Amino acid sequence: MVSIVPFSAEWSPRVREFNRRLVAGGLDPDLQFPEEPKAEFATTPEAAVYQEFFLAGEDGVVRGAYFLTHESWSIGGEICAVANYRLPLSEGLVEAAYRGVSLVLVRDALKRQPLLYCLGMSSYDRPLPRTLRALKWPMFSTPFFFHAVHPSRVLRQLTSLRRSPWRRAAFDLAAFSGAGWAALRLKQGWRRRGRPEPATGRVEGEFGAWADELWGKVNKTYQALAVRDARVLNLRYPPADPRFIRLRVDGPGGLLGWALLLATEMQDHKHFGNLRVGTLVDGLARPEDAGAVVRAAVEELRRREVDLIISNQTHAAWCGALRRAGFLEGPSNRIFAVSVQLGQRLEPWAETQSRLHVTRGDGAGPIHLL
Amino acid sequence: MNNQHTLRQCFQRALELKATDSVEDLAYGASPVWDSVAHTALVAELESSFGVELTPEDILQITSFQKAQQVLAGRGVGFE
Repeated sequence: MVSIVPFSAEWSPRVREFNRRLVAGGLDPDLQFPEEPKAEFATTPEAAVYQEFFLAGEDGVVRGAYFLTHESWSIGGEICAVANYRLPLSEGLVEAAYRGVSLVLVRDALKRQPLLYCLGMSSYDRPLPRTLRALKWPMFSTPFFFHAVHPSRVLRQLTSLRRSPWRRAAFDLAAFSGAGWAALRLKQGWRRRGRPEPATGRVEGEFGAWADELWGKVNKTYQALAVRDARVLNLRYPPADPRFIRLRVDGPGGLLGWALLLATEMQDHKHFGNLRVGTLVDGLARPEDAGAVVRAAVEELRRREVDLIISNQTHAAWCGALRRAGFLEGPSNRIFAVSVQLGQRLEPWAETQSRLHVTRGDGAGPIHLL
Repeated sequence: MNNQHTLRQCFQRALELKATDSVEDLAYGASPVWDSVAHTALVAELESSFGVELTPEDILQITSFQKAQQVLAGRGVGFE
């Protein structure tokens, strides 16, 4: 009989064996469950963000696993407990007799926290989004934006755009002749409109009282977003980690917002090759100030000599600000799905999609971009 | 409408079968239409149609039409 148990250290050898069976059965080796119950955050509910790990065990054998990251969201200005349902893996992916385990996992998670969401999942034809769709979870792809600071280098390196031979040849030729650079620069330039909002950026060592002040002022201007006060931000983007760039943005009247940035030298990255990639991971401002924050972020990342800047944003104000700053929209592999119960809190769903503030910093955060 | 008929409709909706398709010969894992996604849909259909809550063990036991009937009978659903 399959039952759900908390993942404790004595289960580690059996989780290792579970992973081994999944890989032997053909599952992507990148999709492995952590072999030790080591959390990225705290594991007790007293913390602002905490995690719980669970296993589906049958006679001492692991048949499934998942973990939850518990966090707080502001929904219509009310603070609610929500959890991110992460890395559900089932023996059913490789062994037909256990196909029901994926459902057992998600139902167990829903009992622990009915307000669940998933973010990522790559594409709608993967088992997890298909299962969630069968459970009637609302979902949509979060818009992905990119801006080529050095277009010819980007065109040469963007391996994700080079899957078919003709595209590869076309991009190589365009980069060599300079036509690609001109075309991309022209297209990005066309998108830049309007007068820039006056703003200055300053890099901070951590999120302080100023971030709390901003959170208090702006959180109710979004229909829903994960809490972004200083306590949570310093957990998600630890001050001791030098890779995180915290950009505070001020206008003539004072604090406008902040952006969390990365400038990463990629090495043989499966999507970005050897580009220096800037990421606008996260940000907060009144929606009308999003443009000023985006411009300051782009300026800071240009100063750090990135080749390409990317971002995932859902809120209409942030998407519009990126487009006005010359960003183009590309194919997104980040699907945002919510449980039926969370979906009810976010009604009307069709309108909510552009009023939610979900960024690259949400869910598992900017993994693969650090 | 009797419960046998309701159960048949649950299978037809969840597995996207035609009304004329037989459900008695289906086997979970062996029938291409009955994959993990269809199984998820089937469990949801059974719970909402019969007003029961299935346990993890029930979910894994439903591997055929007849097994589904047995599991539901164990939850108090009558099949004459």
